[in-house]
Amino acid sequence: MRITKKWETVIGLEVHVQLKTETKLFCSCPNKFGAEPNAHVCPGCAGMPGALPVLNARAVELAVRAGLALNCRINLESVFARKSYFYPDLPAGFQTSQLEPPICAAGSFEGIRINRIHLEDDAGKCVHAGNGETLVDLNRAGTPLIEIVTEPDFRSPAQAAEFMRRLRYLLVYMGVTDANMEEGGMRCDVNVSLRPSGSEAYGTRTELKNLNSFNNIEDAAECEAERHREVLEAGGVLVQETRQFDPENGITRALRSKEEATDYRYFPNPDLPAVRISREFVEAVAAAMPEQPEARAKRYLDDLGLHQEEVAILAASAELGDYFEAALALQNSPKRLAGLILGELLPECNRRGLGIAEVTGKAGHAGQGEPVAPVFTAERLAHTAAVIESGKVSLKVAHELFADLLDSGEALEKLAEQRGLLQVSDSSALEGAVLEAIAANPEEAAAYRGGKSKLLSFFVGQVMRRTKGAGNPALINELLKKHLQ
Amino acid sequence: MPISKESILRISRLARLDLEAGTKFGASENQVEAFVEQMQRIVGYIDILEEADTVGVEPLYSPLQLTAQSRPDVIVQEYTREEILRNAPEQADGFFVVPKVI
Amino acid sequence: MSALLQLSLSEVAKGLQAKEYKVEEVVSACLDRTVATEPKLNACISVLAEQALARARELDAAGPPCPAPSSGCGNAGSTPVVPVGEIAQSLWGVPIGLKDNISLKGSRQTCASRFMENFQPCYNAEVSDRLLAAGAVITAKHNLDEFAMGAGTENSAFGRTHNPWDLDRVPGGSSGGSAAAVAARQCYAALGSDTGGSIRQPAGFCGCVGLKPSYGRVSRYGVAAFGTSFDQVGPLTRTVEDCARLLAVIAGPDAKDATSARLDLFPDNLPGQDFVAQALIGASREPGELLKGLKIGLPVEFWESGVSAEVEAACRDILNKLEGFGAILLPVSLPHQKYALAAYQVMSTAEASTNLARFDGVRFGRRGIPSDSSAAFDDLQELYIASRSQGFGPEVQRRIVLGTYMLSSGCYETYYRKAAQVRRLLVQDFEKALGSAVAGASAASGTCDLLLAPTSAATACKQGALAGDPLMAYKMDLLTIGLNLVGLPGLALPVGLGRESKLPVSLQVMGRAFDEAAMLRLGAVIERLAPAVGEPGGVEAVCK
Repeated sequence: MRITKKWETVIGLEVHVQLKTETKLFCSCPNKFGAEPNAHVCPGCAGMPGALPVLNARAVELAVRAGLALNCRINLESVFARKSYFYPDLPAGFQTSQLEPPICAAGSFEGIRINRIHLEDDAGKCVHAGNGETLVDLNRAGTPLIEIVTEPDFRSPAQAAEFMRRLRYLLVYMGVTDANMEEGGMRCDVNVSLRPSGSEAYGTRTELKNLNSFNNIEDAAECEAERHREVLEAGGVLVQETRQFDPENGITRALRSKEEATDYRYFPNPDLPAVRISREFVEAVAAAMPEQPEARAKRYLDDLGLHQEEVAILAASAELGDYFEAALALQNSPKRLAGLILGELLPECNRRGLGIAEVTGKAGHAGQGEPVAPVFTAERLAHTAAVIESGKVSLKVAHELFADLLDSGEALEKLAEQRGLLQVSDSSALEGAVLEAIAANPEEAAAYRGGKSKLLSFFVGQVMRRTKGAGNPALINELLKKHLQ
Repeated sequence: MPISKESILRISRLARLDLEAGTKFGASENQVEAFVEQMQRIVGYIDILEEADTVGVEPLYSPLQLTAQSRPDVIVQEYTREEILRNAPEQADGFFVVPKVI
Repeated sequence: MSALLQLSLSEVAKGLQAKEYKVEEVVSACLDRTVATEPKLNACISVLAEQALARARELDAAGPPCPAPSSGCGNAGSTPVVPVGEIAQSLWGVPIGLKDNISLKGSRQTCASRFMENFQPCYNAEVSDRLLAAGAVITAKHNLDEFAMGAGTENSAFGRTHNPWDLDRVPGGSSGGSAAAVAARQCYAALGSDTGGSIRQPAGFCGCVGLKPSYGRVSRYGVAAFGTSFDQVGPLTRTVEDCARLLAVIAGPDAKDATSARLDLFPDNLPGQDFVAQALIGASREPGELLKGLKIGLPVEFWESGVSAEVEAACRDILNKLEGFGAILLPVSLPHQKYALAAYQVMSTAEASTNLARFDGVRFGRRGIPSDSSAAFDDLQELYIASRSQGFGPEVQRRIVLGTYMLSSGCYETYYRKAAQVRRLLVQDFEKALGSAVAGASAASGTCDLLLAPTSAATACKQGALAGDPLMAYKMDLLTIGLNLVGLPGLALPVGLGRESKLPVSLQVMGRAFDEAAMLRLGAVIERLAPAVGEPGGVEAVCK
């Protein structure tokens, strides 16, 4: 921190987050990254005459969800406005964005006040070709965004960057977004100002546009604050303006000032009636929301008695936590389930390069025509745990069969039976193997009888080998003790 | 509220229209004067609104809205890229093309 | 000329269903009539001869639809309902035209703008889809004022349209091409759009029936927007019954238009949608039975706004007859009507200025060329300025600048918000006059069932009469814009010829929201009581 104590840095953020919807905000085109240029475009998002916007209900739901997660007031009526300016990536000549009132207001997160959250549509993309031409791709045009506006409550660039990390984590966890900063799924404008320490009044602020990595946010704000300090300490005057961060050179630059001041001419978009939602709707969204990650972690530790390391993984993703709990509801063996997920399922997923959702069957629609592998649903996880708990199949066998379990879609005990690996819990069936093991190792038997009780585990291993791992370890122990007496 | 010629010309640029005489696409000085004069008369007429007593009246931006507000989040793709690009003044490799500027 | 052209839409539809003549004969008759009259009228931007004939042959090959089994009033209930099956093919084989701001796949859509001269939409307007589903044959795209901005169809990049009653006069606007074409028997009906009177006023000038539905009654999808919160698509026809038939086809909710009304959300009583049945009742029952005790309001601000003597006389004649049959005529006041034109100009141009922002020459439309055609543009904004300045006509540019000004910083509160407040006050005026602006709600005593006023203060004016005086041109809409501001329906219908001008005079019926049925019933009564206007004299008569 190079800013001297004499000055206090004041930062506010405007965060744009792409919502995790199937379709765009005002048309039914896919909301997907990475298609051929203009492949996800219709007359609506191409701004053709007479095409009309119709609001995506899911986007409203996700905006409300974000508002609830950030402790906002939810406005039961909010209004979309037209924000007019001309640019080739803006097909209609206006952006449709909520001005007053926005869908959410007056929240807080991590001690930072949230001024508002509003819904708006994203612009398309311009690619500047080498020959001086501009190529316009409208696939992104109309992507649903929320803009989260904080109060100027940050006092350091590092604090702002850390907030962004936590905000992203929360919104991903809550299923609001699968924001990928590199793909521009989450972008941030940073407002920076300085004021003398102890002063209440804010200084002149500048806005840094379109930062799309956590490090950039911190570096940009750091270097802009430093610039402010230099200007102020030299007795200069700051201009309220929009600037751009150049991470290569570690400087900010004023964006070329337009010949005319921007005048967005906001007014209510007459194509879209006010967004009216009911209290019941908000309650339903709240009820369907994933539990906040901290609350879930605490519950796993305190109520289920799981280990800190297990909790750290299970509670870190709503998807995984929900899956775990769905199985728990069917088979009340938290440790066994956690062990299976962490010890078997996740490593297997990693080996296969699969996301957890694909394996657990929560991934939604698989592409048509692709062969669909049997999924390992929460029901199957619970059943697997129950089979192990019952002693029918040993944990060791379960481990060996786990990959087949995923591939075949068969139940664990079926697989074990087919391969003769059912756990033998019948003492008469095990007795032969026990007697055999003792007979084959007379020296060790004698030593055991002579007091070397540690040798019991040697004999357990011998019996296990003879039963191909299918012997019930507790029963083997018992029989060995009896026959070694 | 009277409107000046300068305001009219500034507003026309904001709307990406060139009304200024002697500029690239502008009209003759006479035409500009006529346009400004017409615009001033229209705005002058509109100023009758000042007389209306609207204290405490909630603005009405659109009449009679008894409407469904939203649609389900389901993908519908009805149009090919060729259809979307068909009317483009210039296109290449699936992009709309805006010509080189100086 | 073919005798088929003398028929009304309802008559020709019936004959087609009964196979009295082929679709191709009817379509050919209309196309021949169009070819014969276009040199005088210029009512069409595109005549779709090939497509129309091809479709006619297809329809002929398939044969007319089977009559719906329950062609009576099948549903139990208090109001007669036109069976869906009947609506479904009610326009089978009937030649109909579209104003050229309405999308139709397979034909260009110019909006009468140079900018759009080659635009080929890849989508149908919802109303086009509904017409086609009802079996109609689209024969032409009609001329209009560029982007529907005008009152005389003189602001078209494709030349002005002439009034078939007097070729030196305007047909009205902006749906002037449609009104002229219907009056001249080029087609049996047309769809126009009405933002401030653009269906009713030209219908009046050309002696047609024109209806602006309640805001939200008809989908705006695929209709190039002018004033989003004002625009409605509606029929232009030669009879009230025809008008009802066409409305029945195009009315109803559309999931593609968020402002299209969901009548299931309507409070209390669902307003009547039995347009055809009500028009037939109006046309057939004893006038006394229908009119006795009917309270008809006469808004004084409309009647005292400089209405010409001949218009007043023709309209009063009807009022006297209505009163003679037992209707109660009540003067009513709409005190904020004096602000209506100003509020309309502010809000409609503001909306238009942003609706027309998409015409930038990037994705479609005519791209501008640099002033020095060998050089490149200085920057992107120059490209925009060139495309828009070269592509738009003067009236469109005027309204864009006006609307941009109304929304610009410092003006929003003074103009836009103020106009929206006045709009609310005007709604309250209408609610007071009609008891409630909403159909089905119980009317307080002393309020009216419907309102009547002239559609325009005078008959069609001479071409060029309004040139150079846009404000005077705007005032042409004085009696029609009120309904667009408040979203209520209006029906313009001819009530004879002016005694001096010998040009059609039009009376406007105004109703409660979504109560087009009541309006059509009264319209059908008036149609019987009024002298027929006959055929326009500016073109060769169909029946000699």
